[in-house]
Amino acid sequence: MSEKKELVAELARHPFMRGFAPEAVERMAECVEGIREWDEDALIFRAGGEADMCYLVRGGEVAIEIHSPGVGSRIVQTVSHGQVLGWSWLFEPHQWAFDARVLTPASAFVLRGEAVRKCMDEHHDLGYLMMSRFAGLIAARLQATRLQLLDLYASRD
Amino acid sequence: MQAVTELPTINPMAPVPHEVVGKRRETYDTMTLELAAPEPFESRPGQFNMLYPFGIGECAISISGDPSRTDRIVHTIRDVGAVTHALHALDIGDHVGVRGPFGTPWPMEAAEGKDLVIVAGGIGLAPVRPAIYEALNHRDRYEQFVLLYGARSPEDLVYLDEIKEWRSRFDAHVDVSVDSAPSGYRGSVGVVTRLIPSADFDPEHAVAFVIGPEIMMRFSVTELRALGMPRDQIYISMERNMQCAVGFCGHCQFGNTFVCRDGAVFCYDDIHSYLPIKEV
Amino acid sequence: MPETPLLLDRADLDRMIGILSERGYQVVGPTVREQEHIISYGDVGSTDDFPVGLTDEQEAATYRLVDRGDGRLFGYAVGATSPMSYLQPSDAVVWAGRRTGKGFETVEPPDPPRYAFVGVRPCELAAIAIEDEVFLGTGSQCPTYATLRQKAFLVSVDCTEPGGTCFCASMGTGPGATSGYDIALIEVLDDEGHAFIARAGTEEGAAVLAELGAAPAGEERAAAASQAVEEAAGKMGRSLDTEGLRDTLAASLSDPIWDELAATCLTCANCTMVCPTCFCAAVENRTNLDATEAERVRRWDSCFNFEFSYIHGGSLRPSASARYRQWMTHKLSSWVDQFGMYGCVGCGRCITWCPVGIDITANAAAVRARMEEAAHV
Repeated sequence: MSEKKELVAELARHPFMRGFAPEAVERMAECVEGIREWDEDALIFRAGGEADMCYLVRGGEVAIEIHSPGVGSRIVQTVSHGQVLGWSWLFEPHQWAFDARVLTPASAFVLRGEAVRKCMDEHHDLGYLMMSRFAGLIAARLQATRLQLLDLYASRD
Repeated sequence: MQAVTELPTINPMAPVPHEVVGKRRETYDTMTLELAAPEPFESRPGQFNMLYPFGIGECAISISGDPSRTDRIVHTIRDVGAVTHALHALDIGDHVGVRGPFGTPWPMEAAEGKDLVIVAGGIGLAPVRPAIYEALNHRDRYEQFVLLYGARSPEDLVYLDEIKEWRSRFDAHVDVSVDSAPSGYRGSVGVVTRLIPSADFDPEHAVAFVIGPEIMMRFSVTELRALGMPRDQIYISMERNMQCAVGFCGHCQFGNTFVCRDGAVFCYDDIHSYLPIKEV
Repeated sequence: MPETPLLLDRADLDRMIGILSERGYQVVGPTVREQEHIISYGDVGSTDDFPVGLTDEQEAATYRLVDRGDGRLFGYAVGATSPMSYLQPSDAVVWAGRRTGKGFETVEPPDPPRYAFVGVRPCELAAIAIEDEVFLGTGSQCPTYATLRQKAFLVSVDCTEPGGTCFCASMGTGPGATSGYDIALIEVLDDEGHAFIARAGTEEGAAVLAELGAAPAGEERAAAASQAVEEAAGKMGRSLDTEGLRDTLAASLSDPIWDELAATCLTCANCTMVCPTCFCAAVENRTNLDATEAERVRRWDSCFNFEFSYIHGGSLRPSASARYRQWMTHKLSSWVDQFGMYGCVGCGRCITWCPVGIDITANAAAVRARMEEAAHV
């Protein structure tokens, strides 16, 4: 199997790609810059940095952190195998809102954000599918965030 | 007058003194008390006692010990009010009044031959710990055993030693998630409901015990239902104001139930229609 | 039990009160509470203590005692209180203890009084039957209630002149007593004079009547008395259609109608304080100053109180609408699931004593209409 075919096959196995037609996976594979690996504590991206990549996590665990002066850094969510890390590459102004720090050695497919957006523009079926996926993802995280906001387990006396 | 021919021999409102024989701090606001049972104390996982520090007041506290150990009564208590504060202040050798056990148990038998999925939030791990003991003591009765536990932050996690022990078992899937954590925390962060889709069980052939704050339970049930788990295979534990524990005082009513005696463990199928109604 | 109705006069009733006292009962019955000018249960030493020649005008948020101009002892509908004030008193000590070193021990309660109630209405008998189910039924049994209840002697008086807020006929609890009494009376004021038709419901009731040596009532007079009771069913000031009501209310919980029905509710809890079946009570633990002695009391509480549903974090029913819904749906819907009967006997007190005149019968009809309307949309 050629390296490219191997990449396509592996990408197709990623849970995010479930339900994508083979040609859609192939198109997405075109956008893959590579598979990257990170050691513990590595910073994958930083708040304020240019969001030019889309990460599909293959393994390990990555913390999404926010730093607040006087409070320090807090982890608001962790992302692990099969999940998507970050969506800021999809929306203007393409700037990361949080830090992504590796908790346990991680690896991910790295897709060029601009290439994915272009691909979505040119192939609306794929674009629609991607947008639906991300909308679902964002909705789930919004719901989770609302639950976190409620601080359900806090003592209220 | 014909109704009363025989007087009840037991006063369900009378507390029985029990000696405190063990005390263990779990977190900054939570403590586990161990009481000596003067007579074998038979309870089923999920039941609760009314605890009475003499003269202070009384409150409902779930039993959190191993039901197979009838010589000890174990309660994990979060310090949230005057009575729980007084319970925290008890020393070894002090006596505390006990009434119980009350309430419905987790239906262990309903999970036999099936996957058992336990989703616990916050101090909710305490009332379900007897069910965990029971399941792990009789591991062969169940297929997959899944425990998903969520807490506010790493410092709010209770029973850490035991969780490590359970996690190390090859026959238990144990996942822990906290709502937020300081940078450097190595565990999973996010709401506990997020752990449900990736846990290893067959939703159609599983029974779930869900316990925690009401909203956390509602969202957990939503996740379980989305995976295809039938309503009648989900059990939840409700919390209401309980003062008498025997259906006399009326405070714990939830719809047509008295949580103290028809619950606290309910089959979701029986009460699901009440949950979305405001201020029921 | 002898079925032959006996005939008593007022003097016999006085002697009955004496006999009951001699038998060790504290005799309790309707009395006029002078300060408030209302009829309420109180100690009775003779028939002079009854509301002689008085009746009560009752309407929503209205209660007034007026002279009847006759000598009837029981010529009113219902008073503000019911035997529940005695059988399930507020502040009942349900447990007491004292400190012993690091522990404590139980202090046995004193013997409770034996009450003889004279002048109990059939709806109140029905309320006692409901309380029996609550405190002695299928669940746990309450020894405090059981002891008071076991010792109680009940003399009922059937209704012939229901009040403006009465609807016992709808609830099947009146106007005549069918069970639950030791002695049942019908008060008669006819051409032959003032009398009481009496029948015994228990052996003790029969023994008391035997001690009075009363003569049988004439068949015609007894039949006329029963006839007057039956006719009273048609003179109720209110009615409540119970057909399918449990289901209708159970289905209404999330309907906005509850906001409308409770719009004027002050959550004052009056309705629950006068209700003869409302059993909700706070369990309070009290101590003396040096915390060596403690008692646990059951103090009347109300689902209309903000703290009633309190769990750490706050009240679960902060809105008046939720509290009113809880009360009404408990009475007429969830009570059926819990105890196999309605929790309302149709005495009308909650309507009379509501300061803004909220009417359970009108509101039950309103919910029914709304749900029917919703079903047809």
